[in-house]
Amino acid sequence: MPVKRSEPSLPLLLAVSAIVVAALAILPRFIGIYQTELLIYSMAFAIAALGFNLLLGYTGLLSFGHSAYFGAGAYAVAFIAQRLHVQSMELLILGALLSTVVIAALFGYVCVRHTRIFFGILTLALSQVLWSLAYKFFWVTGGTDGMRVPRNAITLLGGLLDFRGAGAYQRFIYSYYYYVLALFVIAVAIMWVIVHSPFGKALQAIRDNEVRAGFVGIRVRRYRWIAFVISGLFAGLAGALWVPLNGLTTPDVLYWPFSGEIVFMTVLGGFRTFFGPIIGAVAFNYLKVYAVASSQYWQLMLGCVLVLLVLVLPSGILGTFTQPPPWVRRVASGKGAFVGASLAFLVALVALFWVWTDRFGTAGDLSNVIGTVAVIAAILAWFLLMALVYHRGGMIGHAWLGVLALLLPPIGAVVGFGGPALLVLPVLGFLIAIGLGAVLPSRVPTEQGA
Amino acid sequence: MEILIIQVLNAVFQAASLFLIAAGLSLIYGVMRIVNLAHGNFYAFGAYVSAWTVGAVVALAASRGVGLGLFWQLLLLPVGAFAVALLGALIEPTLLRPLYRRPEEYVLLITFGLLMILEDVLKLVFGGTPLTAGSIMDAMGSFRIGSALYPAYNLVVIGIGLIAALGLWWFIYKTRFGVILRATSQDRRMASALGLNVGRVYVQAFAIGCFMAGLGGAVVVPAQAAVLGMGIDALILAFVVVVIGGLGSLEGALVGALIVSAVRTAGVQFFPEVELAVLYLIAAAVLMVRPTGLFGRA
Repeated sequence: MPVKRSEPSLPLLLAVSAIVVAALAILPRFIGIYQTELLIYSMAFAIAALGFNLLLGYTGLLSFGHSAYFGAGAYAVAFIAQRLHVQSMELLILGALLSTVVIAALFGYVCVRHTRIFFGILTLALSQVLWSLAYKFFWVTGGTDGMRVPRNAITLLGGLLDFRGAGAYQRFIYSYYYYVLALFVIAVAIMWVIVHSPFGKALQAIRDNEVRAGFVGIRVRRYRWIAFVISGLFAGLAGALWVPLNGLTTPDVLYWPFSGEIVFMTVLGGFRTFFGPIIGAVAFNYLKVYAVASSQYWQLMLGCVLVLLVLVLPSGILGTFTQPPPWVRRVASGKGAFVGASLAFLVALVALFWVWTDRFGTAGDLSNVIGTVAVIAAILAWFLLMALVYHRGGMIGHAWLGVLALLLPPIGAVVGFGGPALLVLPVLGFLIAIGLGAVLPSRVPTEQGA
Repeated sequence: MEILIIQVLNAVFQAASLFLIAAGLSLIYGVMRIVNLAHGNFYAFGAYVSAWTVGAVVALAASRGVGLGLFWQLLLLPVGAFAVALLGALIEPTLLRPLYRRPEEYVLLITFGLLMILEDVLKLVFGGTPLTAGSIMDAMGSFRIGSALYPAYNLVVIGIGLIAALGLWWFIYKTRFGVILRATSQDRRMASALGLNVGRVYVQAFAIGCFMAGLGGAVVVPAQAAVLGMGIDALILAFVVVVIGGLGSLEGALVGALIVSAVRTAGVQFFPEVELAVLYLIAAAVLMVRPTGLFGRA
């Protein structure tokens, strides 16, 4: 089935990107240092997920071994910093990229001989070779203790900024934020150019039909190999940026469940869209930090989110708006179904919010689980509601209805008084949107079977 | 010489439990084309349930002043396997079936989600302390090999592994249900057109695969404690086994388990640092040369 891609025009995209980057640039002034640190982590993971998606979304290869390249970048930085006493972050990144290129080229050469599940298993097996080496050669890699890269051992911008003495942590976080942001913007721009270049189109041709792509003269295996190396490079860059922030690299980033997390991020955001993996990485990072902080059973919650995601919203956060799953389309195009489902989600949202405010703060780990699950479920209900209103708005030709649905909840949250009252304005907003969606006549005929 | 005998026995002991896990993984892939990432956690689940059941019943008997005989303890051991089979029979129709029409990535992802869920469910239900059914190991005692002592229970595991291999072979190649299973695995739509209830076959195949994983966990637990994270480690080894032997092949799982266990045992003795790396490299080499494995068919 050909996938319809509705991507915005370049000027619009540039304008929106400029606004987003400007917002990101002034954000640290308004949020605390901890949130800033979380954002740096999110951007690092976003680079990895973006690279991963070149393989999954654009080339049609599911790698289950991207931890190898992330870890290779991380360990390369640690090695060069510890053994060669290099301090300049630029040189460290360069070294990490070089090592990642070598490893990705080697592994990729082997892996691209296969596709589908064999490709996945092969990438998995090879990534585990690196893991076991990092794990077992403890006199070189520190074993499970990992390798430390303290922030006072690195300098940014060729020695212009160092992080020793008083207030080093603050200075580090705030300068490193802009450092990573700059590299993040560059990485996104490069990836955008890659997927829109003839090379990127060739990869998509290979994904859609390997045989035909071969017939028109695309050298399938070589293209896949190059895509693999580029994809690994992005993961390596992410790993290199991640180490000084984390202060330590352990074999955990090479172990295969971390590869699973990269897949998770990408699918969460939507792997059939360009920006999906970025949104997915940010969302996943917050989800994980939040879940880990609230309970020791965070894996349970993340697992449930993943299962729900696959069953209910297979096209991910962004994909739900660009390529809605069939059930969203069906529900949004029928008037009764739309009103019923929307109200159901709204009721669920309010109920879950009530559970959360009621439960949270009470002692006990399990009660925290219930509270956290309620929050996650409430976000999901809110999201589904938004998707329904958005698509209903889109279908009846009233795009502003979708915009209304997008804008009202955050406005309500900001204007609201805190506690359960936080919900009043968004609920009112949604009720207005649902009502308008139900009343206004449908201009676009029902689309079936998309 | 003693060491050699002991190491060979150790290798075969490891192979027995590894074969059980890998055979389940392979069976599920062979019939349903699902790579079940949660399979290792099914194994861990079986181990925990068995260890807990044996421990609880022994303690209950002791509190009533009765000693529980070795025979009864052994009889309690497979409880974990049945529990896992039941779990599998519940999971397949609810979580996996809706995804068969979608790209295979989604099935892989949902099993990854299951892996995370099961990992924490085990922690939630059984807690963080390792569980063992060591009472069985103690009751069986040990025998002498030269000047060394060797636990007798390990021989039981080897026996169970052999019986399971033979039983599974007989089941798949000699029974009517085996024919149905193989037919479904070869051509799902044709099997369905011939009037087979493919949905039911899938549930059964998945449950049997889970049963094998649970049995692998159950037989291991008197010798080694059930700990958190054991599933994730075991899955990778089982993967290596099925990749070497061939995905979907029973003989392959047997041979692969023997190879992997032999390499591991030799590795621990002679090259402990690269023991795991060598395994993965062997798997990668086999995949490169023969992607379908030593015994697999395309």
